[in-house]
Amino acid sequence: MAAIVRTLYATDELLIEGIKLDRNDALEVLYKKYYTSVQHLVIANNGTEQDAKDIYQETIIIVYEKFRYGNTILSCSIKTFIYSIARNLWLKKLNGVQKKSISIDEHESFLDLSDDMSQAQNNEHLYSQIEQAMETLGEPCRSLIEDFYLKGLNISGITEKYAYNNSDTAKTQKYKCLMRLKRMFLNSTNEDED
Amino acid sequence: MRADLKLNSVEFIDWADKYLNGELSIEETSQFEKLLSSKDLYFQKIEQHQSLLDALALYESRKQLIHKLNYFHDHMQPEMADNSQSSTEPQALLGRVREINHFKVYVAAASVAVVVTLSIISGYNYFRTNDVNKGYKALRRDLEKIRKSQHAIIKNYNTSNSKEEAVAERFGGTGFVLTSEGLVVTSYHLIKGNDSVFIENNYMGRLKAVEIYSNPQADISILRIADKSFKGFGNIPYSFSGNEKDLGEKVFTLGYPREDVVYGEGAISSNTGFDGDSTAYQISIPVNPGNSGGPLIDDKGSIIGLISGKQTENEGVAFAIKSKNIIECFENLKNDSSISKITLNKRNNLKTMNRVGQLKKLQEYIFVVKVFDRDNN
Repeated sequence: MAAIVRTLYATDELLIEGIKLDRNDALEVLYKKYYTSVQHLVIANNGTEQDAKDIYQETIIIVYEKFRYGNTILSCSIKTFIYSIARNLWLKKLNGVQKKSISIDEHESFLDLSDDMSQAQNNEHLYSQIEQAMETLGEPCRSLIEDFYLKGLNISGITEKYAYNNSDTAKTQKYKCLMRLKRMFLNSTNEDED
Repeated sequence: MRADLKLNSVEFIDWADKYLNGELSIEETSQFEKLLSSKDLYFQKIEQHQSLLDALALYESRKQLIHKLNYFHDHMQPEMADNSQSSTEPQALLGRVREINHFKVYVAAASVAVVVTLSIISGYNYFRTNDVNKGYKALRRDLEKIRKSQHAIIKNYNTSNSKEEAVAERFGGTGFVLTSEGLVVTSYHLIKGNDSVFIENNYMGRLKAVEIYSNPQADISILRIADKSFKGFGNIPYSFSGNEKDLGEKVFTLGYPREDVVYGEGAISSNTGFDGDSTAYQISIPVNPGNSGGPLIDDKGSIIGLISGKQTENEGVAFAIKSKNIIECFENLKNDSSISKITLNKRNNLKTMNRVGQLKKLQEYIFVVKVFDRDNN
């Protein structure tokens, strides 16, 4: 990574600001900066390198979504924040496997993050719902939804790309696809809740 | 008094999308809001719609995020081991003038030359609207095809890490420096759906770039160099002209229709592009796949456009997007990112040079754009 980028994001505030602006270089700095401490935590507590990567990425997703879309005021350093989330996730995983509560070896301070963790869980739930819905949606609906709602192609673009006769047909197709997606999205909610 | 708005389900969603996107006029907005407040049902409907769109946005954001994290992860080890570069840090401040030795131009031989026509232009008909613009061809090179007909396209590829080698190199085109901080402009159709993008020339070597802005309608994308070896471009010798150019004005381009940079010259032959498109010029420069994304430059050395495509039936008819659109894209990018302090270069140092001098200088700022697409493997 260019040294220039490191100086750009030298403090926690600058780094959070960079993430908020969705800058890839900020994300890269964030990702590379704190891996070692999480890696150490996981591996020192019965985890593999793969576990460390999974836990770390899950952590970074939470951190990213918090900074990007939520409250960006931290009561601690990014380092402690990341460590605390990773610790929380790893404990949960260990507990899940062993079906009993366990303590882990650690060398760093951490915080209780129940608010952040419950927000993260909501997002996780929402993501798995929408992911499942999108994956079962089928073509051309999936592409159409992506083109219109995620890539910003307008109706005339949709009309041309999918060779519809006119924009009214395109609007109707878009509507049908959306309703289909909505049905699947809501269905997956119900399945998850039982 | 105007009539109350009546919408069927399809129309309702159509209006809701426009409403949420801020695309309704003031009058339409108040009409729609009146409708929403008339029945709880409508209100619920739009709330549900909004939450579905939120979920979709989360889906897209995460998918991209996971993709990026995996990339960072795979590129982490060598990075961590490499501490030696920290000593160069003080020199690497934004916008610092890079000292270039102009006499070290060891590739100039390839530049001022006839356009070499590669005979591989066989029907690649992608542009914006796929088959609709049948007569129009975007000029991105399909490298797989070229590889078959031309050997030795990839020379320096083995120097990079093994992950990138596993990924197929799909398309190539041209791009050029927009600002000294490492922004590069190219054609959207080139890098659309890319897995990763690299830019390369003989001065800077091969640099990783990331897409930071795209405007599919204008067919313009802006990349940012994201490479640890990159230290800024220093002073850029050319400026961007926002003015319309006149018919007959002499213009030229430098691009990468093949592995070496190729020069082409001609004139502005029309103030509109394909099918009367007023955002583009028609130009009489022979261009080939791979020229896409290259600069269109006037006699004085100002950037006046971006090579975008050509007409399939007629050789010698090509199109370039007017530079006004590049400037607009740059302004849009500035508006929603942290680069707001960056500006386009206004001083043109090429004005008094002859063409050979101009080209020598320009070559440093023009790159081959290589797009890798994992799906192809």
